[in-house]
Amino acid sequence: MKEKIIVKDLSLFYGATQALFNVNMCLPENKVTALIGPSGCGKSSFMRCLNRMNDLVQGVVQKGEIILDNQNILDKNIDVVLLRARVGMVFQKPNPFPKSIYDNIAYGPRLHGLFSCKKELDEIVEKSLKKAGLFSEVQDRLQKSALGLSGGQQQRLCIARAIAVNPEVILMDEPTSALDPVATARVEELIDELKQKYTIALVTHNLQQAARVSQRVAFFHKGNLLESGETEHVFTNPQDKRTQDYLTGRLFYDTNNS
Amino acid sequence: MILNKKKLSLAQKIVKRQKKDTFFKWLGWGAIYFVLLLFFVFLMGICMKSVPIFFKQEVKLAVALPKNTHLPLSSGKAQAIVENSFRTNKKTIIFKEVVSLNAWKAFSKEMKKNTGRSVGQQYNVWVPVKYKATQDYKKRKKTQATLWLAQMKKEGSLRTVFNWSFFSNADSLSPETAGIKAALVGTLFVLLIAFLAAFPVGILVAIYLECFLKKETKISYFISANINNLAAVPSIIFGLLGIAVFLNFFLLPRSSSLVGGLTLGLMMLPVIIVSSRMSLRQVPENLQEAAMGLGASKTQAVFHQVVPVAMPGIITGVLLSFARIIGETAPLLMVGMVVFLVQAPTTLDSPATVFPVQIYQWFQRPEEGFIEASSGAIVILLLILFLINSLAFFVRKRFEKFNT
Repeated sequence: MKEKIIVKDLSLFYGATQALFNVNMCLPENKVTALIGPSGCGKSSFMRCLNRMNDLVQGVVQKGEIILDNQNILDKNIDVVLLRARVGMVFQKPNPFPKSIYDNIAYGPRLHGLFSCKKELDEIVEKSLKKAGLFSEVQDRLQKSALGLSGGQQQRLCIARAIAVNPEVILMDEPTSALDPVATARVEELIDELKQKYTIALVTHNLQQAARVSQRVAFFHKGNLLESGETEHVFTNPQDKRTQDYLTGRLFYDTNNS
Repeated sequence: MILNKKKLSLAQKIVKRQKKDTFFKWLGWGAIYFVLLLFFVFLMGICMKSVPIFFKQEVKLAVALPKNTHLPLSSGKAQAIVENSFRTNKKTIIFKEVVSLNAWKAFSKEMKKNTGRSVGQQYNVWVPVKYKATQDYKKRKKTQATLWLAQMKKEGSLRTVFNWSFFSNADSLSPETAGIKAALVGTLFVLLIAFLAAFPVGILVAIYLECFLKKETKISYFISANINNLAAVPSIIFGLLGIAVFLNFFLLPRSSSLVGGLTLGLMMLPVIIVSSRMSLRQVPENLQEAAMGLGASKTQAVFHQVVPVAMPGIITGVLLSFARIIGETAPLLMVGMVVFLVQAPTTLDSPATVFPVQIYQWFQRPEEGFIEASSGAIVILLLILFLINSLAFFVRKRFEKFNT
C-alpha cells in the first residue's frame, strides 16, 4: 500500500499556544482516513496543515515535515496555490458561492486554466457533477443560483467543486455535521465511491460514520496523536486507554490538566 | 401603594400589561403620523410656493425689423428693436414694467430660427411677461401694466405656458427667465468628479482595511478610528481643506466644478469607506476560505468572491453618500462656487454652481419672484434626491434577489 502523505514530527503553534505535538502519521493512497477525537483536540488544525490553510491564521508556526509525493509541503518554496489545487478541501458548513451552479464548479478550472474552450469546461462541470452524484438533480438548472439547493445538495456541490480542479487528495472537515441523515447517507456513499480515485482525509465526530467509510483511523487528544491504524483494528482493539474511553463514550473532558 | 400592587391578581396583571402594550403601540403610530404630517406640510408648502415659477405668461408682440439692419443681430440691437416696436404701440412708459428684460432673446431666437428674413417685415414674437406684472394681473390689481395685459388678453395676445425656460436657462436677473440649468449641469459635473475621485480610492481602502490589513493591531485601530472621525468632521472644514490643497497648492481654477467635485470627493471618502467596510464585513468568511481552498490566492479570493457579494451594499453606500453631498453647500461656498452664471458650465474647469448654492443665492435676492424660483429649485433637488434614494433601494433589492 502506497503512502500518499507522510507526516513527520508535526507541531503547530497559534502564537503562544501549541495546538499539535509531534504528530507522526501516514495517509495511504486511495483510502479514507478518518480523524477522530473530542472537540478542540487538533484534528481540524491537523487537516488544515495538509493544504496549508492555517497560513491564513495570524501567528501560526508549523514545525516538522509533511511529505506529499516526496515533496515537503511545509517548505517555504512551495507554491501554496498549486498545493491547494492538488489538495482540495470540503468544509463543515456547505459554502457554495452565491453564483450559478455552473459557475461554482467552473471557478476552480477557470482559476487554474484547466480548459481550452467552452466545450471543455462544460465537460469538466458535467463530469464533476456526475462524480458527486448531483448531475441528474441539477442538470436542468445549471444556471440557477446554487443557494437554491438543499443543504445536502449544496455539500455535494462543494465536493463537486473540489473535484473539478482534479485534486489528488480531498480533505473533508465534518462534511455531514450540518446535514440530515438522508443527505448524510448520500454523502457517505459518495465518499466511498470517491476513494477509488482520490486520497481522502475525513474529520468526523460520528464514530459510526468513521467505522462505515474509513479504512484508517487516527485518534487525536489534546493535540497529540494517540493512536492510528486500520479502522477495524483500532475500533475493536484500541491500544490506548483514552481511545477506548472515547470510543465507548466514557472519555470526559478534564478541565484541571490541559 | 405597595400593598395594592401585591394584591393584583394574575388576570389583572395581564390586563395591565396589555393596556401598556396598546399604549405604546398607539404612541409609536402617533410618532410616525406626526413625522409624516410634518413632512407633508413641509413638502406641500414648498410645492405650493413653487407653482408660480413653473408657469409663466407670454405676450405676443409685433416686432418690425427696421430697414437698415444687418443680420445676425447683436444683443444690444435686438433689445433696441423690441423696445422700439413697443413704442409704436405708444406704451413706452410701461414697457419696462410689463415685458421681461430678456424679451429680446426671444426675438433674436426667432430671427435665428429661419433664414431668408426680409428686412422691414413684421414678426409676431411671444415674449415673457415680467413676473411682477403677471402676479399683479392674477391678483386683479389695477395698474397700467395689468390693464394693458387685460387688453392683450382680449386680443388673444396673452397666453400662459409651462415655464420650460426654468430648465433650459441658466441664472438671470429677472425671475421669469432665471433657470436651473447651470445648477443642474454643475451638480452633475461635481457628482461626476466626486465619484471618480472618491469611489476607486474609497473602495480600495475599504477592501484593504477589511480584507488584507491584519486586524486587531494598533495601526488598524488607529486608521479605523480616524476614518470614523473624518466622517464626522463639519463640512466647512473640508471647504478649508479644499482651498488649501486644490486652490492654493495645486492652483486649480477657482469656482470650477473640478475643485468643488474634488472637495466633495474628500467628504464622500470616509462615508464610502465606512459603508463599504460594513458591507464587506457582512460577507461570510467561508466564501473566502472556499475560494482559497480551491487554490485562489488571497487577492483572487477577495476580488472574485468577496467583493462581488459586497458590491450591492457598496453601491448603496455610494448612492447614499451622493444623496448626502448633493445637498452640501458650505464647502462649495468656501471654494468660490457662488457665482452668477448666465450660461451653464460646459467644461469641468469653468465656473459652475450647484443646486443648494443656487437656492441660497436666489433666496437672498430682493426682487419679487426669486423666493418662488428657489422653491422651484428645491422641488427639483428633492426630486433628484428621491430618484437617487429609490435607485439605491432598487439596486439593493435587485442584488438581494440574486443572492438568495
